[in-house]
Order: sequence, then C-alpha cells, then structure tokens
Amino acid sequence: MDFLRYGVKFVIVAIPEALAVDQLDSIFDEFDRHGLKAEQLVINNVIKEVADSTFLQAKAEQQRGYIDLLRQKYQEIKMIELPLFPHEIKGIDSLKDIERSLFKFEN
Amino acid sequence: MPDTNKDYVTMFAGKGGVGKTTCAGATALHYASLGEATLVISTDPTPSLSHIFNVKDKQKPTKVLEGLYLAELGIEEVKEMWDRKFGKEVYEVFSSFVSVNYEEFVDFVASILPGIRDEFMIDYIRELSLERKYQRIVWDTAPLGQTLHLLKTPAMLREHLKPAPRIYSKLKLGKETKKPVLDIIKGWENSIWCSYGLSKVWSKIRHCCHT
Repeated sequence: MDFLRYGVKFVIVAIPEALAVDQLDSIFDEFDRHGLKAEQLVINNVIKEVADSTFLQAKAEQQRGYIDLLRQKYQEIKMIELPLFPHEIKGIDSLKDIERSLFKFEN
Repeated sequence: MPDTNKDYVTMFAGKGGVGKTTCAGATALHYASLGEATLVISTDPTPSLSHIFNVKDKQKPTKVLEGLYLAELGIEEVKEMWDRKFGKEVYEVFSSFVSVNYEEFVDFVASILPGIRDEFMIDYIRELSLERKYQRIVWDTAPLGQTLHLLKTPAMLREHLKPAPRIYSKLKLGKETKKPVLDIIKGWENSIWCSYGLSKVWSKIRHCCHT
C-alpha cells in the first residue's frame, strides 16, 4: 500500500532483551520485504540508575550488550533509549517524562 | 504520490508489551503541546490508550486535553464503520447469488473482518490524513505480525475460506443467473474491493462458480 510506504513515519519500539532483539530482526526483515523503512527505533526500559544494586548492575550490563549490538547492526536508524522508571507510566505527568526523553534532541 | 509529508502520521510498531502505547501517548502529547491538533488512535484489539491517559469517556474520539483527541477502534467499531461504508452495497451483490439474509451476511463478513480490519484501518487513517481535520495523527498499532499481513492477502483469504463452505453451499446459481452474476463479481474485483485486497476473495468465488 502506497500510503504505508510514502505517507507514514514508522517508529519501532523494543526492549533490550534477547527475545525482543531477535524479534527485531524479523520485524526489519518484514519491513524490507514490503519496501517500508523505519525512521526510529526506541529501546524502552533501559536501566539508567544502578545505585549499589549488584542485581541492577548485572541487568544493566546485559542490556548494554544488546543495545550495543543493535547500534552496530542498525546504524542508519535513529535510536532512542527510554529509561526504566520506578513508577508506572500512567497519566499526563508520567507521559511527560517519556515525552522529554523521546524529544530530547529536538526543539 | 501527492502528499509525502511523512511526519503527518506516525505509526508505532513492535511486539506486544514493549511500550508502544507509552511512546504513542507521549508523542501525541508532544505534538498537542506544540499547539498541533492531534489524534491518537489505537487499532490494537487489546487497547491501552484510554488506560494510559486515564480517560473513561467512551465517546469516539474523546478529548484528552486541549488539542489532543483519542480513539480506540476495536472490532465492533470497525465492523460498524465497514457496515456503514460497504455493508448494504456488498450485500446486494452477495445476496443476488447467495441465499443469505443480512444478519448471516454480516456474521460472514465479521468472520473475515479480522483479516481485513487492518486494511480497513489503514484506509481509514489515510482518509483522516487527507481530510486534514487534525494536524498530526499518532497511530498505536496492534502487535506487528497482524499489521503487516495486510500487505499480502493470503492470510486474510484463509480466514475467509473457513466459513465459506457453509455459504457456498447456499449458492443459488442457475444457468440464467450465472453469467450476469459473474460479470457483477468481475466488476467488484476491479472496484473498491481491490483496495481492500478482496479482489482475491472475489476471484476465488468466481472460480467456485465455474466449478
């Protein structure tokens, strides 16, 4: 459908975990096969604060591995990391937090 | 292509549970806060847009705040929209060669609707973008596998064929009616149904009529 190909901006959302990264491969494959191009890739739930937690440090390291893999693999695409928040994203205020991260380099 | 302003419609895609709705919601909020009339729309069968914006209003679209509107289009809404746009017309053709009442027909279409829902939604959003009622449209889609199938009709055809034997068994084609009916179907193949990928459906029906 031409409208999809020329009239829509695609943003793909994923999380930095093994399964999600594998699924990204198949998503991009499908996009390629249909002549669609994704403009942005948002990696969600990225651990930014580890404090003294060895648990969080381990998880963050694991995530970093996948994120680096994705950056290397999909260099042409604009990648944005969304931090993992301690609170649930619900309501305008918490959505504003997400908005700030998504549009950090604009305006 | 007439309008190549790609930023007009932003579509969030990806597997379930990764934060598509969060991103769609935040993006819609961003555009609305820039003063751009924005519609955020979800075609996810398990929608979470109204949940994330804390809106209980069932009106479509719902006003979230100044300049931001929200619509969740589930199977009932799509069925309704499809019915309004094509229902009677298609039934007229269909009932000329299949002995089926309108309710049965609607059920039949509903059985293939999951397959054509995404196609119909794409066309709906395309129409919205042409109307320019909103300055931005943000689209939170169903988990990806379902969305891209619309670009190939075989999956949808499979869904159509499941209840088809029941319907086909009611085919009331006589020698006299056969030719004009086939001509009608041929006409449908080339008209609006093409854009909904149902040309394959009709050619299948035509094939069945020949045998």
